[in-house]
Amino acid sequence: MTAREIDERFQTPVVGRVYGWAASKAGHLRDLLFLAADFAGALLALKGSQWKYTRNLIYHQIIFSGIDAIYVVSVLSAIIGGVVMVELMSFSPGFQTDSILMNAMVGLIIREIAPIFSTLILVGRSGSAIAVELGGMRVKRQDDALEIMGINVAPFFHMPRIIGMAVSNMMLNGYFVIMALVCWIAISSFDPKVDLAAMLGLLAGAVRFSDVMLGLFKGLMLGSMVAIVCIHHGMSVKNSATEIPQRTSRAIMESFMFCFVLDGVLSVVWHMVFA
Amino acid sequence: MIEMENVSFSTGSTEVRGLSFRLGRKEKAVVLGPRFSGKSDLLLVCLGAHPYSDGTVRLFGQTLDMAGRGLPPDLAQKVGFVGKNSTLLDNLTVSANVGLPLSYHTGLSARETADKIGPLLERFEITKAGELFPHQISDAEVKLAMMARALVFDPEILLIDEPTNGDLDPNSFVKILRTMNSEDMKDVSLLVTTSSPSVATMEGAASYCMVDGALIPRSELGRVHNVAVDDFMGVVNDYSERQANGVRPFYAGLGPSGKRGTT
Repeated sequence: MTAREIDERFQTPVVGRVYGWAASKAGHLRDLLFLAADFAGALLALKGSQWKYTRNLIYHQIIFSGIDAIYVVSVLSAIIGGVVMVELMSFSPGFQTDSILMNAMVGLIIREIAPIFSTLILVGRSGSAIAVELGGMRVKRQDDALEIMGINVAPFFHMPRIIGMAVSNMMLNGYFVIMALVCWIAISSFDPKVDLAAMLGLLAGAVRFSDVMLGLFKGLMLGSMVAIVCIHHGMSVKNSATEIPQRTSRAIMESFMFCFVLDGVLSVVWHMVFA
Repeated sequence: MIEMENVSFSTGSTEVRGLSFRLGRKEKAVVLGPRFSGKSDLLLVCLGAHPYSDGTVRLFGQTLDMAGRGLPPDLAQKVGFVGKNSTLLDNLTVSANVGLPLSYHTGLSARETADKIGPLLERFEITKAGELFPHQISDAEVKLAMMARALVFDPEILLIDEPTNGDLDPNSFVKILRTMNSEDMKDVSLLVTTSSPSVATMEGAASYCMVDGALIPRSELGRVHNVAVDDFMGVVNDYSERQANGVRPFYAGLGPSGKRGTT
């Protein structure tokens, strides 16, 4: 049933519009899932020689998305670690002996703050670049030229970006946590009232294996998600260069939205299964 | 090698219908036609990369899928294609672009690929451009690099879309035509589409015109009475006549003020 038919049946334009909007969003979600399935299929079908070539592209993507982003992540994680410590010191002067507070703050950094912030950096740096690059390739029909040469664009364009972004985000996530905690310790060491040994003891106890695993898993999933969304929008460019900024903007906003939604879903599922 | 029987397809703006065509081993053919007549899509149909609605397209005896989902891998390496616009990847050097199909399909290292494509770059006189990126070379060198890339697997058929498209100086124009007519290309079947009457006079090539959704052998044009065909051929014949009489092209007569001279 079309949106117009629904409007006529319910005698109001609202239901039809809502239905049309929901159907379009569902279709978009289906396209993203198809792209993910296409990626998985291409990964399984890759031959030895093609894998060798794709592997180099994955290394390049990790360098661009992961290694090159270390500076930005260092600054951001140091600021966030420092701000959290300053807030803690002003909010609860005896926090270094409060295991509940320590567990909550360390858990928050590892499970939520690090995955979300590293993903936001990834979206801004690499996600936008991927959407622009692939959009430009579509306008120039470079993907068609590759297909004609028997080069499947899924392993050539999609796979290195998805794997590279997922691995990079996981690494950046871990690095973010380490930097934030190091900065946390460094700032607290300047406060003579803080018992550093006691705080380090509590801190070591607050870093739980399950939290670390959840953080890294989130990094992996959010990185893949950002790559899939940005690839989809980049490859959706049809003929005109003016579509590239439009698609890039949509890719960034959608990545932000999915980042928070997926992070929330993973947290809830993890809590229900493992807590 | 390429056989089309009563093929119809749509280009978006033009409906091409009842098209029949055959290109045998080591044969050459040029399709001349105005812009947006469907020439580029004709090549894509031959490559199985554009859908067709009626008829049959056979490549090396295999019937191609009507949906235009591309060629099977075994056929893809037997056919080379040079597109109208640059399809070299911007983030790879020219030599990496030329060697791309080779390294991707065979897994050769960068060094081995460079050794293999060296003679090819030399043959197309783009050795110096090999280490540069596509934006650093001329349009003619881009065309030659794309031709080199298309020939990297020694295909039996080469399809070239508008070989002289782009901002080409007269030397580059001649260089591309000379390359297509060279001895090295004598074993390759060649199908070229163009909107330039100069390219359409390629030596030893069968000549066709694609006008108003039909593919007509040039020798049969006199029998076709159609406004679009007459208009197009009028322009082509006028151009050819000016060339034959040694009249310089119209742009050669432009003076410094931009006003046309006496020629």
